[in-house]
Amino acid sequence: MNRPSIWKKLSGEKTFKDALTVFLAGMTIVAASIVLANVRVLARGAAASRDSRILAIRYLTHLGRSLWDTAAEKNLMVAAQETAGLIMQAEAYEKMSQGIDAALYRITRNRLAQIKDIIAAEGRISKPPYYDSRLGTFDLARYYLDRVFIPAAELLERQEQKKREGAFWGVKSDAYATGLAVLAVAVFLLTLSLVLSGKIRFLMAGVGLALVTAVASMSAVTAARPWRGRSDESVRELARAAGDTLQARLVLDYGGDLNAVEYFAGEAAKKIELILKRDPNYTAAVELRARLRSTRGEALFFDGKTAAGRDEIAAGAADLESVLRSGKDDGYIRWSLGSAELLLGRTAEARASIDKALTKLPEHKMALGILRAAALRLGGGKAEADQALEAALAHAAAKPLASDPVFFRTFIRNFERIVEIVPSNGLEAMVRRLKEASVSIAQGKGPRPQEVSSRVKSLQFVNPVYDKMGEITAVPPCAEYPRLTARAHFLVEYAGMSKGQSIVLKVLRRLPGQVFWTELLRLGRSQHWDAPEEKTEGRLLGSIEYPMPEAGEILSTGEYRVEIYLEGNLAVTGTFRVL
Amino acid sequence: MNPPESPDRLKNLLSILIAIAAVTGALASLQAIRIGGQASSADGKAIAAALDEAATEISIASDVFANETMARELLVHRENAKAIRDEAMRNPAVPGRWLDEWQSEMIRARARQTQLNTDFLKSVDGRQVFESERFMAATRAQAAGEKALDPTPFTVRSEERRSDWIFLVALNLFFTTAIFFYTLGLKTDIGRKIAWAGLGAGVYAIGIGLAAWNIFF
Repeated sequence: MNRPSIWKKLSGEKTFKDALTVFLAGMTIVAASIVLANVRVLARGAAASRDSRILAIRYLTHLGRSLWDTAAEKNLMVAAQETAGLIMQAEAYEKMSQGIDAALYRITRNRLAQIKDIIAAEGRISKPPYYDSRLGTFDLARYYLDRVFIPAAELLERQEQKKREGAFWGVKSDAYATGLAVLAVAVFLLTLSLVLSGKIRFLMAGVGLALVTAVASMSAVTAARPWRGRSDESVRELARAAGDTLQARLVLDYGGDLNAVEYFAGEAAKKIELILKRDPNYTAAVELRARLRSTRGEALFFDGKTAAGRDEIAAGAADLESVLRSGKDDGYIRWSLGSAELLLGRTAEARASIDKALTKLPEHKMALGILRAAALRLGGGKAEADQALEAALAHAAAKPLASDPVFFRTFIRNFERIVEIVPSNGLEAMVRRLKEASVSIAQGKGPRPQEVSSRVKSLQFVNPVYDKMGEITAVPPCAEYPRLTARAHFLVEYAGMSKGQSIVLKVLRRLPGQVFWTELLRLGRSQHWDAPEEKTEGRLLGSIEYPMPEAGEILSTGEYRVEIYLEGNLAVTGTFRVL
Repeated sequence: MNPPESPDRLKNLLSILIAIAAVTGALASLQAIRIGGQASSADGKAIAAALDEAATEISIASDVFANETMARELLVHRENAKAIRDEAMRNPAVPGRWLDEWQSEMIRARARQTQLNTDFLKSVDGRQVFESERFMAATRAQAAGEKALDPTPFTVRSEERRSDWIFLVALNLFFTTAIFFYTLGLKTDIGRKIAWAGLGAGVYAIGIGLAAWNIFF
């Protein structure tokens, strides 16, 4: 009964206009409320954006400052190491001398010891936890992680959070601004219905009313969405977990001690688990877990536990895919995914991921190209793989990066290990090609080794016997040297050598219980043949030793492999062992 | 003469009150825009201060590196020289060239000491140490005398300006509510007109009162 009467009342022009006028007045309150809400989110957005910029500057400031500090500490460490070496040298000479000479070496040793103590008192790196006084070793990697990397990672993550917060308030502000624009249209329609007559005014008023209702509802929904940033605690923990993850990766890539990898990976895993328990949707933590799982999986895989390793790598790949699904897509994620898929034997997927990474990281054509060639080779496409490998090597020769030698060493090392543990379909040929290309490119002679007629007929490890005059009387073969050996001798038989020819000697070591052959750069040598013209054929006695064996630099226990390259061609390989 | 409750006079009064409320709201909005600009300007100054701070900190770090390295070298040379001299004094077996070495070490050490800013060198247990912390504090204080190095005062100011900005915009809620009540007064029966107008005036007065409180207290 009431409805028709209200409708009848509203149908009257005066009542309609009165009601609409009051409604329009009420709308100003709605508009003012939306403006207020918009101003509040704009204020928070501007503050977040400012904080994000300040944090970005603080990040750069920190990097600048901490790198200078690290340089100073590294100088101090090198000075202390050199002094320690000189002390050992003086001690060795003192024992070998007598009388005044011995006294002078003693004076020198004491003097150096005094200086070493003074230097040690000056720095942070010369004190625990970065200095192990029992072994006399410095942990520069831990110092770098604690003083440079972890604070930088925390600042960067806090900056990322502020950036995301700024974007969040920006989206809200856009929603309010759109609402206000729609409200203006509604005002226009409602005002139009005030001046029109007939049924059209009801249509205008109806549409205006519907728009106002829609704007009010949308604004209420927008206002109800809270900002859910990550807690400071999670951000701090994430930075520490990133430090442990990086240390695990550094140990895997540069050291090869798989037990140490597992230790640091375990520490990182505990922290990441805690963060994800608190913030299950923390994408950065999921991405970090993916990297950690890849590192852990690779360590297990290369340790010969291929099934367990692949399970871990697959879990890491699933994490990477979830990160990609969340909208974060960069070349490094695609690279990691491609690498994981390669080890999982999913060669087609690996190729697709590497191709996507290549479009985003064209500067890494060499590393990604080698990975792509490996995926093709393991997938059975030999010709295509060779082509991809040659393209990658040509790029490395044309546009070398400082990181190229590291990539060469890591690929050679990992591929050699893959060949040892799983059927690898012609990867051996790739390993040889990579070895020769790395030497040739390092000498600036292009990706292919030079054609040579010279050769090394044999390489034998020996233990020379000296007479009283210091002359060598015999060179019996010796495949195993005793503990604390400072040098190992080798005898090579060569033929067809020409003057100026390049000779590169590389020494690799596999420590007991470890799976990787790691190149020992300080034992390697690069020389040119400068013997007289007539000496194109003969025998040569050489040695493997550190630059300062008297300072206690000995060949530690383990298996050693020596590779000799002539003009970039791998001429001969031999192994010996130090007990 | 119209009676006081004359609808026309009341309508006129209410229309004037609506106009006053609208103008007050517009003035509050203008002031809000001005204050918002001040907040943004303070943000800009905070960022500029952070940049100045970065430049100063990095420059100090590089100076500390250079000075510490020099102090350490100086220290090593002096210790070296001292040990040779002591040994030469008590041990006649020390050859002459060692004494020459000691003398040249001393000359080099003295030359380096004069190069180094001796204000920041102190002697600890007889050895020269570069006081990096004091050097940093002094250099930072000198730089701070020339330019702002800390963004915090600007961020604090920006937060204050921003809260004023929000407050001024919020005042519009009172003025629009007052306009709403005045409009109701315009469009209702004569008895209720006074009530709506009174309510509107009351809400308007609260808004003005809050603004005055904010300005004067």
